[in-house]
Amino acid sequence: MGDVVNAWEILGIEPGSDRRAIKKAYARLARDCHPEERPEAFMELRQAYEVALEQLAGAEPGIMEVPPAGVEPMPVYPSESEPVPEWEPEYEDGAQTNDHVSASPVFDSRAVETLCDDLASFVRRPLDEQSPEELEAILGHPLLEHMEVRDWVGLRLLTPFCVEIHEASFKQCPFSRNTLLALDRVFHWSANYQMMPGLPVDDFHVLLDGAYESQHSANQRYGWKWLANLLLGFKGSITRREWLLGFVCMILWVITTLNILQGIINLVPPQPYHSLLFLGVGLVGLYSFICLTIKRAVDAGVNRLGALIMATLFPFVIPLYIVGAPQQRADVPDPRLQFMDHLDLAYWDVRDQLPQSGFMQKVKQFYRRLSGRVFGKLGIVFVVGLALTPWVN
Amino acid sequence: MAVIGIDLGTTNSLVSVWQNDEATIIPNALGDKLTPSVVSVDKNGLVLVGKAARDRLVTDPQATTSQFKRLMGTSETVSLNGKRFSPEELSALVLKQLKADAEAYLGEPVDEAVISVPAYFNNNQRTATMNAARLAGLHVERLINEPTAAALAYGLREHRDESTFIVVDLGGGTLDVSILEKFDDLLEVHATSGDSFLGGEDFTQSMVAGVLSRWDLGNHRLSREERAHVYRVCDQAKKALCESSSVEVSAKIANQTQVTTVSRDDLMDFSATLLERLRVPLERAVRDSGLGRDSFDDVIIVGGASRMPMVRNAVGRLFGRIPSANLDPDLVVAMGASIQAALKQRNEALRDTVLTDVCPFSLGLESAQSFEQRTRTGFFSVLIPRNTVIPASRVDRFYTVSDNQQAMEINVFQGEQRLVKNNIKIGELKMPVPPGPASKEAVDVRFTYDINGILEVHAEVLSTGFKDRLVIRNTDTQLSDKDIERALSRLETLKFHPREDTANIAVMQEAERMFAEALGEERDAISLLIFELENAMDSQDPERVSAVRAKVQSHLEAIRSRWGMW
Repeated sequence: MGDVVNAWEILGIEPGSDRRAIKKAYARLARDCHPEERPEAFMELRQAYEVALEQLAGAEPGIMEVPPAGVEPMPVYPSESEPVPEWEPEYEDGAQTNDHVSASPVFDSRAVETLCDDLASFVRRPLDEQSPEELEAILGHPLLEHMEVRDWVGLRLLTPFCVEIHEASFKQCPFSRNTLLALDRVFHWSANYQMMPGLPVDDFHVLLDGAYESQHSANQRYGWKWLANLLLGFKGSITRREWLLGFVCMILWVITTLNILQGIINLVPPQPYHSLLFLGVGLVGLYSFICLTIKRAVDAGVNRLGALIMATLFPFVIPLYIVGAPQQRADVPDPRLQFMDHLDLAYWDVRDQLPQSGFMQKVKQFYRRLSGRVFGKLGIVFVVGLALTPWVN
Repeated sequence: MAVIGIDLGTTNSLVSVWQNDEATIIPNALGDKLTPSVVSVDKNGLVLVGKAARDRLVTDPQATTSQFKRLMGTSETVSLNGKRFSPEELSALVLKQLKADAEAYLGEPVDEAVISVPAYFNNNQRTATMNAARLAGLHVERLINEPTAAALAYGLREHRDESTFIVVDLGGGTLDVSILEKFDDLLEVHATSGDSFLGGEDFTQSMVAGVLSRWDLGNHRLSREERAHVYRVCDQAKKALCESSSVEVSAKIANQTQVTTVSRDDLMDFSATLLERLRVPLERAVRDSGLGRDSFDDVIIVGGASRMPMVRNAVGRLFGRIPSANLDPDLVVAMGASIQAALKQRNEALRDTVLTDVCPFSLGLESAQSFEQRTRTGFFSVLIPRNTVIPASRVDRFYTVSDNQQAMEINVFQGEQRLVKNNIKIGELKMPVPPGPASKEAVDVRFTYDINGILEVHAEVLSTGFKDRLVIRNTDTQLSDKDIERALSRLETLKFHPREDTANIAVMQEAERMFAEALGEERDAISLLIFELENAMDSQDPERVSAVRAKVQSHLEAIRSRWGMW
């Protein structure tokens, strides 16, 4: 907080003046310290104004106060019998008045409590009993149309979540990811992370980030970047068992490659040192690559079978790295890609409409259609890798 | 010399000027206030901008582009008949047209403007807008946030001394929300929020998807012409739904005419997710302003897409009051931009008006945090939180993380996410620090964000007194001066239709578009009209041309009225 005495001085009013007086003084002075002409003076004035308002808020609680996080009683919805004002503006009738605007909306606090309990108990059910349809039905409750109710319920739900996750030390997500995402779509926790003071929110947000990450299209999750990160982010150690596994992989790979190369070697006049050199360098490199692939894949949470498949495929992918991986512009994160599938689709639709050269568009569409599925992609990698191996050699 | 205000929109653009103590919208060569933000290149390589180009979206989609505002700030390019254009260049073409209109109207050269941008545009997008202006030969020192501009236009008409109001601006491609307070002559923006990828075009797009799925037509099987046709039909139907409760949509796809009826409720179903997204920024702005939902004296809704009843209903339901739209929603932003231009020049009539705006996004730097003995990096430490009144200056101290650290990297980001990887990096600075144990050395970092949107970062190492500074300004180009020059000379090689021909070409393109949409006898009739107009234009006789043009126009009008709403 700035210099309090100074603040009143700058504003030129008595300390402890009311809100109106402060604003009046500020408005009057702002004309002289016009932000266009004297930015320094204006900044000083603005700070004085904010300090004065803060002080005022401290003196009369309840004006500018943000409700503290935690489990406090339902704030402004005391009525139990009064019905929720279900007001639907209708323009067709030409009723262009605002006469019926109530000063502050009144909600049935009992219904809100019930809603809260419903959601809390739904989240704690075993994962296979959490049906998305049921959740949609609960979240479609008309009370949740109202921002106040939503904020209140959101905070009320979040508080125990954060504590539980914090205590569970997030080895595993205690909640269903899909449920978490559906809730976040309504309560916007991820967008308002700064608004929850005093809660151990970090661990919760790690979970939420993870959930969103898992929602990203397969293209992003299993893209080249992911693979490159996986392979080149040297982390973790390799145990003896994993070395052994890697060795088996290598043998598998050599056998397949030799089989494929058979035909080509027959075409080229036999020069023994060629293949020896190729084998020698190749084997050492491959061995380490394969071990590393497996290790990193396992570290990243791919199951053992998947790791094995990846390791077997990796050598075929190298040529693609050389040719150049599809670009992912990291400098400008595309805000559209943060949305859910259907919006992603809408985004691509807009993109499709932009005139591009016909050939590139076809290639892009073809690639997108295939790369949408992990297996499709792995399939392409395999085929392209096979096609390119002889060419590189 | 007059400074003009420009609303460079996703769908339509406008130009306006402060004249005789009020904001006046400048009509274009056709006499329309709105100039569609569409660029097209015709067979002869001549560039068309505006209404004529919009008709070519249907007849020649290969060589026509729209909605390029959405690409601003990205490195994507658009190819029109083999010529590649960056979004900046396309915007520059539109700006050039607006500039020419203003010059014709004012009768004097114009080289300075205030351009409005969505409040939620990030630094790259703003820079791109500035570059576009430079390419169009306009000097732009100030970009104004669209909702602020709208509020300015409203605020000047507001006669009460004290009022708080919320402005929702749903344009063709972007949504912006601002909360303002008027107190005496002080207009103070309290909070700004928005979504730069939500607008009327998205609603059209969702309608296209919905209608196509009704007809069992996958999105990808359509040719570009058919797609453009369906898009146009749906756009018209969407507009018609503002007036009537249901419309018939018919489109000619693969030589078959598909028909369906779309009601308001259907449109709502199609765009349910969009309506849900609409709510997020609105609520965020209210929360950020720290005001109760019921403390607003007025809810103002502007932007072309705000004509849709379901959008009004959604906004109305959220605030519990009917939104008001007293000014033409299409014109408000441009009017505000010209008011800002006058304010900036300290025009006498506006001498006492003070406008304070806020920084629409949080600015901060990357930092590390420790969790249970582990240190993780990549967290976003905010120095200037969003909705801080600008100009603003904040300072914070940062310490070294590890022993014998050689330097501290200050990576400057903007955004609202907890992790910097989800935010946008706008600059970096490296401060050498003397080696020592962790957290012994410290660097003071000061962020100063001024009224023109220029961020200055000052850093000082406490122990050595080493100072460095970094200036990140909107005009700071990713394009170097050389690039700009190259683009300028490229734009100069483009040929435009002469301004006198604008009306003829607009009618011609419209006729061609209607020709593409018509069937049977009407088609023949239109082709005769086109032929006649072409002949008249070839004769170079201005009187004959205008007579024929009037005749063609009236015939087209007759056909249109037979077709119904469009």
